[in-house]
Amino acid sequence: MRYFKNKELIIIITIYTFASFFLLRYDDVFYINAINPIFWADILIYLILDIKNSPIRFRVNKRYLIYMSIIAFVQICIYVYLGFILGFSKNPYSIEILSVLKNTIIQIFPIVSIELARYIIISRNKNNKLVLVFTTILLILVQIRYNTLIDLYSNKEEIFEYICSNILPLISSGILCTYLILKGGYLFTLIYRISSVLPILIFPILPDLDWFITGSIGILSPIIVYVIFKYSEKRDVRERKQNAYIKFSYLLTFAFCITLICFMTGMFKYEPISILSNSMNPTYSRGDAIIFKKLKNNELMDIQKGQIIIYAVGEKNIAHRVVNVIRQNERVQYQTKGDNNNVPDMNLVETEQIQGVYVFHIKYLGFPSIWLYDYFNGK
Amino acid sequence: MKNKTQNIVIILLIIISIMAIGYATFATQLTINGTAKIVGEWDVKITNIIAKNVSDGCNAGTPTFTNVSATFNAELEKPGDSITYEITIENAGTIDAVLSSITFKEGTPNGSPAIIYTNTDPISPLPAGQETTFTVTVSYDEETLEIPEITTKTITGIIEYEQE
Repeated sequence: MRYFKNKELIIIITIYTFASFFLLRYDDVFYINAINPIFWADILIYLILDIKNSPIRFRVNKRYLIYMSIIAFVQICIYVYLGFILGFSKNPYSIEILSVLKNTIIQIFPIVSIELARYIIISRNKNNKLVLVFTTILLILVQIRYNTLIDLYSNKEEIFEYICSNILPLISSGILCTYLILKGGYLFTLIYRISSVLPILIFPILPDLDWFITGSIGILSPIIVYVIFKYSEKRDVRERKQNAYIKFSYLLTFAFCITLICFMTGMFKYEPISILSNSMNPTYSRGDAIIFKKLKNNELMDIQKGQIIIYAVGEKNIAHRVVNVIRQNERVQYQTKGDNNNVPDMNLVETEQIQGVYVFHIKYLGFPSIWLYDYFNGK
Repeated sequence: MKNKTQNIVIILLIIISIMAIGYATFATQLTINGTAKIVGEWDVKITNIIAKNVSDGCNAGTPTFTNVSATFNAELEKPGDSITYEITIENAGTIDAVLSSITFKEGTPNGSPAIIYTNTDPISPLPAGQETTFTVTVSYDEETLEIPEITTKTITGIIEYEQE
């Protein structure tokens, strides 16, 4: 029996990566549903035989295996919990038994094969950094859907969202998987990767996460796993002291990132918004960021003349001052006006449109958003 | 070790911050549409709709319009048939207008997959006092081999202009 050698395996995956670029352009549905699972299933058979006959063995640390299983479980729990905060939507995949089987083949085969291929290559080249880096990059590239990138090319906004929600998590998880392989073999990466796709395959409803939360979780989660593995080893007193500083740095960073994500996505009572126009000069100007407080239903009726409200018009928000409160029976409408405008706004604001009331503003904090907005809008 | 940690922390903070800025940009934009300091008159409206290029045997109906909407009812007879409607938009105000977005949504329940539509884009920016046209073509998919169960489809087009 002739088995794959490292070089051959790397060359085959490299060729397939290039081929996938054209195949996806030619017929992405056929590629995703047929070519990709079949290719990886073939590779899988050889990889399993290779592993069976390989003299190289990683000793699986049971403690880490328990850690990994707990992490995978917690990851799924957090994912589901987010649904209770942000709401659920129907799973786009069918959960009929046959469909689950089909989707499992389409999703799981490539994951298992990729991780076994990573294991084979890395286990034989542990001391060759160049191969480690190249393999990590290659196994990231082979998972990218190039057709989506090309389709979105002309829409800067969507491509930004796609890179943040898909490509960056792929890079983050790719680097983690290489680390996990070095740490203890393919079992860790398989548990980690499969637990990430499991909810999509079997849950009838899924958390309704936007690109920002999806991307943030996808980037943060591998780094958190890395830190848990890296700093949970039993070390001597001196090393532990040294690690205390590093652990604290990571903890602080994670706390900051999670707070920022929650704050930006409106999970707190207060939410930021950047100002694009000078219509409220001199109260606040273009480039400032205002913090507004979200209101409960019963508080919407209590808004007073003179308060600044943030209300939605279509997909956009406006923050203007209430100049008149119109009460008719149980219906309340608000007339608004920008402080710098010479006439009130054209339409009255209904309570359903109101997002919150202005609390305070921070000078110039919104400028990065505006520069990005201008860039995406070609200004 | 400390340097490695610092690098990871810095890269992570930069990525999350850039994403947060992007999120703030796309999710919570303040607009100046029609609510900025008004120094001129804003009046972009639909002024006409006509049927063009009607295939033989098809009925283009009598398309109607108001300032903000245009309605047509196309009756197509056989696969390959199509009707093109030309819609005129006029900027009758004194402020130049730029096309913000043009989107088409299919109504629910889903209409016939045999009915397909394409459109051209109106010009942008649309200077004050000028008009532009764009077309919507409704076709009966020529690859359809049998009469579909559903023979109608509702399509809503939304064209948004904003002040330049």
